[in-house]
Amino acid sequence: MNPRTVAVIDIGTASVRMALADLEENGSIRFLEKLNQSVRLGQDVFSRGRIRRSTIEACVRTLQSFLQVLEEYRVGPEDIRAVASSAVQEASNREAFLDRVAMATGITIEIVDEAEATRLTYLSVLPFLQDKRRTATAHTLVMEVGGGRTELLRLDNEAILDTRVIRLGSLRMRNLLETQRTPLDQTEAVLKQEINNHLVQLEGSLDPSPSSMILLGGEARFMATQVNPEWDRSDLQTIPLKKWKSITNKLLGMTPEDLVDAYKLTFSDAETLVPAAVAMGRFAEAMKLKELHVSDVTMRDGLLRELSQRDGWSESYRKQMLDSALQVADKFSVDLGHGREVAGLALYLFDELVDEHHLGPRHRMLLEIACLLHEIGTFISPNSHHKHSLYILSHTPIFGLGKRDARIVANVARYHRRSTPKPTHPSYQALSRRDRIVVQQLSAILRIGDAMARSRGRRITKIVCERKEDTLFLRAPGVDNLHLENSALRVKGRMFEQVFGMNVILVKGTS
Amino acid sequence: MSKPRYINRESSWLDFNTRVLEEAQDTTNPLLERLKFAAITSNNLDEFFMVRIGSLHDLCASKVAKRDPSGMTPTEQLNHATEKAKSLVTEQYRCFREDIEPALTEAGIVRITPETANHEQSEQLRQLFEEELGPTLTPAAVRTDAPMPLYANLKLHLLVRLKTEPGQHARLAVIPLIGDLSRFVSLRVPDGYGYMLVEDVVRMQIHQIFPNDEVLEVIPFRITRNADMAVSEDEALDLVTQMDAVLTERKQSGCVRLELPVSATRVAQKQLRTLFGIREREMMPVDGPLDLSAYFSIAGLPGYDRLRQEDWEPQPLPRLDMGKSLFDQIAAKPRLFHHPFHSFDPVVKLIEEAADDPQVIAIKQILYRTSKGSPIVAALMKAAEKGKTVTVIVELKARFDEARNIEWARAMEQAGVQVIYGVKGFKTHAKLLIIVRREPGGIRRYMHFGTGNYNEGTAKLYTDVSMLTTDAELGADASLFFNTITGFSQPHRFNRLAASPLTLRDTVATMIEGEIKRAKQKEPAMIRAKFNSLADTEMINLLYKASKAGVKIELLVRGICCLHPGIKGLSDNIRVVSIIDRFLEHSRIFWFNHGGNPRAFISSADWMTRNLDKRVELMTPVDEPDLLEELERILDAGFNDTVKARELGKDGAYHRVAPKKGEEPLRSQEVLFRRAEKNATRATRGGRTTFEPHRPRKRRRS
Repeated sequence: MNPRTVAVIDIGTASVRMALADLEENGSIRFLEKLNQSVRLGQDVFSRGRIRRSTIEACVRTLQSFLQVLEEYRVGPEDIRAVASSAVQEASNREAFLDRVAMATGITIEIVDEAEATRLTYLSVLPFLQDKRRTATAHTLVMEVGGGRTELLRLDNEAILDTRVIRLGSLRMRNLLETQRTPLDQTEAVLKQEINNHLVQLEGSLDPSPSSMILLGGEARFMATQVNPEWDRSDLQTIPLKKWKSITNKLLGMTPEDLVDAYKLTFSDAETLVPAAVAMGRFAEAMKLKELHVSDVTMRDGLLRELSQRDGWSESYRKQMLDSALQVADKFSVDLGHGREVAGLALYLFDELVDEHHLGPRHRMLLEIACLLHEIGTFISPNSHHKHSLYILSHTPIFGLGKRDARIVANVARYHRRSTPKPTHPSYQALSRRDRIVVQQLSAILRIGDAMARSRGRRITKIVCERKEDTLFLRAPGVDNLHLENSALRVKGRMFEQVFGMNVILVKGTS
Repeated sequence: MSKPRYINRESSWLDFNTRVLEEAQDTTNPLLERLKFAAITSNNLDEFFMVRIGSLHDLCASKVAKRDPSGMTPTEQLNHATEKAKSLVTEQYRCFREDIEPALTEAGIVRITPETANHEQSEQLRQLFEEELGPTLTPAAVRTDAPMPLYANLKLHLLVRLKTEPGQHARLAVIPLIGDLSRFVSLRVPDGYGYMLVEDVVRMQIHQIFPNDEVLEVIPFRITRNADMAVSEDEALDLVTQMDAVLTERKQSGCVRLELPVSATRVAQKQLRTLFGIREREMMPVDGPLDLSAYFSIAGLPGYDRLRQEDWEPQPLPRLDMGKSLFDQIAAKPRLFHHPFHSFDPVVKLIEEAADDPQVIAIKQILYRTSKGSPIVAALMKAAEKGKTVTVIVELKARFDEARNIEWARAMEQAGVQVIYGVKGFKTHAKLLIIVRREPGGIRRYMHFGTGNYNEGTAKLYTDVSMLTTDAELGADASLFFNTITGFSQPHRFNRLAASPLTLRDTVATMIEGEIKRAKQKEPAMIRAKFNSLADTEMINLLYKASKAGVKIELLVRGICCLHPGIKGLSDNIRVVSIIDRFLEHSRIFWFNHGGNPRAFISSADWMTRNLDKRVELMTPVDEPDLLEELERILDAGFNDTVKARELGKDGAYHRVAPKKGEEPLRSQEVLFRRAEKNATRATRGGRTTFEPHRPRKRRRS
C-alpha cells in the first residue's frame, strides 16, 4: 500500500507550525515539509486573557496558506490533525477562536490539555528511552519549557513515574520582565526568583532525583546549536551544565533586539530564549546534574507517531496506561480481582461485537480501564458507589488519558449499575454526541461483563457468542449453574438490549 | 604608500572589459568573433556608465567623502574610472578602425560612406530616404538657453547646425533616430555585403529635410543616463547605501556620458555640452561609428561562417536516455550538467514530462530571466491546465527584461499558474525547480539546482553548472526555501542547503574557517572557487586570513576582483585567474579540501555584498563522488588554461598565462567541449560500449 501523506498542525504560544510527512506501512515517518509562521497568541492571552481579533485573523491567514500547501499534496481533512496548546486553552474567547478557524478553514482544532501534551511528549521521546546505550541512566526527567507552561515527565527507564505541568512559562516570564520594566542587569535575579517559587512547590516530589535530564523545545535546541553547530539532530546533544551556564550568562547581557541581530532570531524566539534557558539551567542545578541532554523532537513528532499508529496505542504505551490505572486502583483499594474478571469478559464481548459498535483499539483501551476501576467509588461508600466512581475518575489523572478520554472512562464506570444515562445527568450531557454513544455502548458491554462476574468467583472464564436473529446467545462452557448470573443479567442486560437492539441470553455451554 | 589591500572595484571591472577587448584584438580569433567581442565591449560599457558611473555621480553630488575600500574618494574614483574608460574606448576604436574594419572590407563586408558611395548607390539611398526613412523622422528645433528636452537613453540622435545671419542666435535641430530604424542600410556591392550607417544616410540626404537652409554640420550623438534607482540599489549597493535617503529622490536621471565623433567641431561640442549641462569629463569623442554594439548584427550576418568559429553543439549527457522517462533515470542517479558543453534539453524535457505525468502533483520554479516563447513557460502553463499545482516566482527586478517578464507572467496567470512577483526587498536570483511526484513508494521530489537562468538561449552562451537530483534532504530543504521566500513559512534550519540572505555567507565563512583551522594544524588546506565577481570585503578579508594561515587558494574570477593577490604576508597563497572565451564564464563552484574529503557546492551567488546580503540566492552541496569529480575537472581545466586565461599579478594587473616550455597550449573551454563530445559519442556508439575507468583520485597536497 502507498504511504499515507498526513499533516499535523500545532498552534503554539508564539507560532503556528505544520509538519507534513509520509507515513510508511512499517510505522516509520518521512518528513516532507515543515512550515512555521510566527503568530503571537501567547502574547495576547498571557497579557490580556484573550486572543485579539487581529491575531485570530493572522492565525486564519497562516492556516489558509498552509492549506494551499496541503492542497498541493492532496492531503484531505481526514489526514490533518490540528492541535492547540496552552495559549488557546487559557483564552477566554477560545470557543470563538475555534469557531472562526473552523469556519474560515474547515480545520477543527483540538485543544491539547496537560495530560494529552505529556502523552505526546512521551511518544516523541520514546525512541531515545528505548535506546540501549542509555540503560545506565535509569531515572530521567524530560522537561519542556513552553510559552505558558512547563511539562515535566519523570521516567524510570521507559516507565512513567509521574507527570507534572506547572504554570512556569517562558512567555509568562518575559511578560513579567516587561511589565516590571526589569533592567537588564536584574533579569537573572527576577527570573531565578520566579523559577525558585516553582521549584519550592515541587520540593520532594522529584524524589528520587533524576540521573539525567532531556530538554525539549526551541530554546533548548538553540543552546545545543551554540555548543555544536553540526549537532546530529537524530541524536541527543549533551551540554555540560557549566557550558550551559556560561552561554546563559552571555545571553543575559543581551536584549531581545541584540539577540535578533546577533543570532538572526525572530523576535518571538528571542523573547523567550533567556527565560527558558535560565529555567532549564536552574532545574538542572537544583537536581545536582552535571550535564543536560537536548533532543530535537517536538510535539509534532508525537502527533505523527500517533497518527502512524492510527488510533491505537503502541504496546508499551498501553502498558504505561494500564500500569498507571493499576496504581490508581491500588491507591483506592479497588478489588482488582473482580475488576480483571469483568474486564476479561467485557473485552471478549467487545471483540465479538466489533461489527455492531465499530469502535477501535482506543475505545477498547478505555473500556478496559473502566472495567478495572468501575467500583473505585466504594472507597468513599458502597452506597451510590457508581456516582463516587464518576467523581473519582473525573479527577484522578491516569497517564495517557486526556480530559476527553478520562470523561468517557468516568461515565462508563458510572453507568455500570442503576440508572442508564438521562438528560438530567450533567456529566453525561457534557459529553459530545459521539462520546455519549460511546459511553452507552461501552457501559452496556461492561454491564454484561459485570453480570457474568456476579459470583466474584471467576466461575466463568470463557464464553462463546452466537447470534441468532435478534438474540445474542452467550454460552459458558463447563459451568453448570447459571442462576446467579442470569438473574443479574435480567437487570443488567436491559441497557444492552436497548443500545444494541438485541436480547442477550446466557446458556449453558457444552464443554 | 603601501600597496592597497583592495583593488578598486571600477578599475577591476574596466580591466575585465579590457580583457574582453583583448579578444577583439586577438588575431588568432576569427574575424566575426573579434567583431562580436568589440560589440560586447561597447555593450558592457553602456551598462557600466548607467549604473556604476551614474551612482558615482550621485555619490559625488551627495558630498559624501567616504573612501572606498581601496582608499579612494568618490571624486577620485569617478575621475579615475572615467579616464580609464576613455582610454579603453580609444583603444577599442583603434582596433576597430585599424584592424577589424580593414579586414572586414577585405572579406567583402564593406562600409560605404556618403563620400565613397557611387552613383547607383546614391540613387538607391535617395529613393529609400524619400519613400521610407524621411517620413519617419521628426526634427525638433532646440535652443541652448531653454530647458533641455528629454532624449532617449542610449539612442542615436543627430545634431544639425544651421547657418544663421550674424548676430542671430545659433539655430540647432535634433533628429532622434529612434523607432524601428535599422542601423545598417544594405547596399548593392559586387561580391559581398555593403552597408551604410543610418546616420550617414540621413546626413547625406539632410537637404531634403532642410531645403531652405544651409546646413553647417550634422553630427550623431548618443547620451547615457543614470540608471533608475531600483537597478542601482542592486548593482551599486556599495555606493548607494552611502548616500542620504534624500538622494533616493534622484533628480531626473542626468546625463553621465555623451558620445560623439571626434570630427565634431568645437562649436558643436560646446553646444551639446551646454544643451545637456555636462562637463568635459562626460564628453566621450570617438573615432568611428558610435555604439559599436550595433555590430552584433553584422557579426551574425548569414553566409560568412568561414569568418566564425566552428559551432560547438551542446552534447547530450552520456547515459541519460532522452527517449525514456527522465524521472526514473534521475531517481536512480543524480546528474550534473555543464552547459553549454552539455545540452540544456533534459531540463526542459523534464518540465515537459512533468506537465503530462499523472503522478506529478506540483511544480515550483523560480524564473529570473527566461526567453521569449520559452518552452519552459509553455510546459508550466500546460501543467497548470492539467490541474497540477504550479507556483512560479517571477523576478521583476531582472533589469531590462521587465516588460517581457510581465507579458508571459500574465499569460501564466491566465493558465492557472500561481505567479508570485518576487520577494519584497530582495531580488530573487536563486535558480530552483521542484517537481513533486506521488509515487508508489511515497512522495518524491525532483530538484534542479543551477547557477544559470532558465533560459534556453543563454544556456547556449553561458557556462553554467546544474544538477538534477531526488535527494530527500535537499528536497525538504528546497521546499522549505520555497515556502520561506513565498511567505508560507518563516525561515528555519536547512539540512544541507544554504541560502542568502540567511545562511549562505555564514556557511561559506565556516568552510573557510575550517580550512584555516586545518592549515594551522599543518594539515593540507585548500580552497578553490569559481565565480563572476569578488567584491565583498568581509569575504576578501577572510581569504587573506586564510592565505596568511597557509591555506592554498585558487580563484577563477571572470569579472570584478577586488582581492589583491600575491602581496607578501597577506595574499601570497592566493592565485586569481580570469578566463574570457567564446562562452561567458558564468558558473559558480566553491570547493574546499576539507582534510582530503572535499566538499563542493554550486551556487547562484557571487561573492559580492549584494549577493550575500541583498539577494535571495542558493548554495547547493554536490556530494555524489562522481559529480563532485566532474566539478573538480571543470576547476582543473580553468586553472590549467594557457590560451584564454589571464592571471592577476601582484602588480594588480592581468597577464596572459603562457604554456610552460614544451607544454601544449590548453584552452579550457575547448578541452571541456571535446570531452563532452567524446563522452557523448562513446555512449551512443551502437551496441559496443566502451568503458572509462574511474581513476584513483589525485591527492592534492598544499
